[in-house]
Amino acid sequence: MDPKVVQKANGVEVTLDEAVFPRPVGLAAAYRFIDRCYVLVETRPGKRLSVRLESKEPTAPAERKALAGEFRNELLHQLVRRQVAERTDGLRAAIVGRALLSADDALAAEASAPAAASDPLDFQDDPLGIAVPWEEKYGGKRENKPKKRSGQPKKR
Amino acid sequence: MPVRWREVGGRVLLTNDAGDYLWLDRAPFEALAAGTLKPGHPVWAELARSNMLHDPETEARVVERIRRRSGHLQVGPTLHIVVLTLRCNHACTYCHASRQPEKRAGFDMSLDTAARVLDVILASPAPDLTIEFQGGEPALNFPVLRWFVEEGRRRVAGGSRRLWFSLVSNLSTLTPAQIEWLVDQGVAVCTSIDGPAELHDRHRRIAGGDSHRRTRAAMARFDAAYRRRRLDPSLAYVNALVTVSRGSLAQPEAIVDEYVRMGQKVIHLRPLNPFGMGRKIWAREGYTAEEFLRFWTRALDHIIELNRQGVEMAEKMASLLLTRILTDDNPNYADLRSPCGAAIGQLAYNHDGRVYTCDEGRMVGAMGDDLFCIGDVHRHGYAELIAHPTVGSLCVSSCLECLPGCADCAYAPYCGVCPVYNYIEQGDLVARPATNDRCKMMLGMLDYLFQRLAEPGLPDLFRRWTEVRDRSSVFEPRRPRRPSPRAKARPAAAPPRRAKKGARRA
Amino acid sequence: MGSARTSRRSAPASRRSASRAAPPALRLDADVYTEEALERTRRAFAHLAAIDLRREGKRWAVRFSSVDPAAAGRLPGEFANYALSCLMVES
Ligand code: SF4
Ligand code: SF4
Repeated sequence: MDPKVVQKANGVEVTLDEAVFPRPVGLAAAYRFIDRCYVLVETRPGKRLSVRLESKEPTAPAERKALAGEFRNELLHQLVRRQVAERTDGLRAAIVGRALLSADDALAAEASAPAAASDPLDFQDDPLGIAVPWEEKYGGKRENKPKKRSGQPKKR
Repeated sequence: MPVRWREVGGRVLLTNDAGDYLWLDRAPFEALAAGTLKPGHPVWAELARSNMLHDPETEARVVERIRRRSGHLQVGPTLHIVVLTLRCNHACTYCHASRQPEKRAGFDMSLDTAARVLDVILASPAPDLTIEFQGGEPALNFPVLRWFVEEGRRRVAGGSRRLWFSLVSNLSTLTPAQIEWLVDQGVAVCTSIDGPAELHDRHRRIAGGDSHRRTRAAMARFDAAYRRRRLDPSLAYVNALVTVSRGSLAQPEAIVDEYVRMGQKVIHLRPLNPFGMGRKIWAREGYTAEEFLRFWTRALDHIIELNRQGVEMAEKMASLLLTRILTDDNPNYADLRSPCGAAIGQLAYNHDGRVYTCDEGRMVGAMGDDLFCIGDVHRHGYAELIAHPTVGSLCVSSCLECLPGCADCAYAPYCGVCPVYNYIEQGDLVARPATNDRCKMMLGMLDYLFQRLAEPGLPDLFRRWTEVRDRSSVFEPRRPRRPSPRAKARPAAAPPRRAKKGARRA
Repeated sequence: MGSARTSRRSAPASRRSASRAAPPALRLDADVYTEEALERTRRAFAHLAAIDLRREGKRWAVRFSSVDPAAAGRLPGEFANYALSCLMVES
């Protein structure tokens, strides 16, 4: 259940149970270390995931221990972040959608068009696709063009 | 109703989404949490009075109040920060990377860029717009400042929108004629006084070493100009704020006393932020959240004591937080709202036309990282800027009802998070609250205010700190203006339309 | 299982003579790293080396040649890191 930690030559290998820490959580935690470590992720039998963090600079054993501790903290943060995001999905869509509409005249006009007026924003509406992670929506290079957004609020 | 809780000083504080709060002793709280507290228990009635119990009437009331408290979700970007120049005649010890020497060319906003910036600002849907001139020292590019005021007023004349101007300046380069013009134009002015002359001049360095004297002299000239126009001195004054650096930490009382001597009624004790600052400077001038909190609470203790002796003085951050705690008003302060004001509440325009989500994002840009740049006025219109994916991303990452830690924090109804800070300090737009110094500061300040609110007499005093007087009458143009000879390149400004008195908080 | 695939690109002419001992091949778990992420990474690193990307059973084998000497030591590690960041964008 607990992530298993093994010290390696210049880093650590942490093995996770994917039933406890789903893969996106493990990947997101690993990703946070790419500025100071080389990171390799591999699957292991029994739905387990191994994350190897090899420090870019030479490290002492105490630093490797600290690295493993930081990684476990980060795992916990990513797990809670995912749970909170799931729990508050609709709320986020409503608040952020409203905030973005306020700043965008054209979108505000769309949202207050007759069809939308009789169907006011509720916590399930996500006219801007806010509940969709922005990396997913805008993944890849930013184009400096207004994104085309659908005129009608879509139900999630 | 969903409630959140926090243990403070041995008791339990409950809060709800409408910002209501209630103190409970440990035993009834445990009974409540275990579901064994029953109607008829004395605490039950208190819970009902504080809107902590679920029933349709309470829910309708609370929803209405949440709507009011979330007024910032309706208006769009009201604050437009225009960096007129990066040049400055000061070299403050805690200044940011972007500052350029006074005589260096190439760092002023041109009239062409200014015209495009104004186009973007006026395309924003907000009915009330404030243009805040910043720098460097913005007064060093006075012709463009002047053009903004005259052309901006001309463009909104006859319409229903209102345009306000404010200048954030060290005041030391302003001539008497420029001061008279600013007062006539109703440009609000904000300056920096870090404390007594010795402390101020140690940090705010200028050739001659007399920054404090020069700024105070200019403030006196503004006061005289306001008096000559018979403006109410309790409304017409130059705002000042303190940037708290390491050297300030030992003397909170002396800093507050300096503001009392200056006749200020509000002091803003602004913590230094790490944006745009080299690591060396931070190591010399920075401090921990705990050190800041010790300073801030000592200052607050002193201010409260002064109030008890009849001196009128409030601290700005405390006033903003108390407004969120004690009223349903929305001060629309960019850093204390959810989502924060980045791009959807404010925009920052660099001297070269690059546009940032906020001034703090611009400072990160000055460190060579343009993550918070959302476009350029020479290439993008307002709609394109607002459609930039970074805008949505900052909204999502500052929507604290949905963030780890904050979503379950008792202080969420009053607090705000800063993705730019999180990015600089923790490498991610989303905070790790347990190790985030800004969160520690918020927790410390709110713990202090809630504990003091429980003392007899203090709720009345704190309520007075939340009363904001409408200063809009002072910040209107005073008389029909002649077109400025400096603004010849543009159509001459039409006589100003007198803005109606509004509820703007200056 | 995707079919075995080669996507060799020749190194920039300026570096053809600079090729030293190539770094060891990188083997990445195909259950974790997607082909799209690795292709994007390969394109991003094309100015530093010729990169051969092949599916070998349950793994991707990434082989480097004509490597920019300045990048040689860090190349496999940075390649894997970049691929991970591409996965984050995809997920
Ligand atoms: S930033 Fe800290 S104090 Fe503020 S709501 Fe989040 S967890 Fe609470
Ligand atoms: S990102 Fe930070 S500085 Fe910028 S508006 Fe939001 S809270 Fe304020």
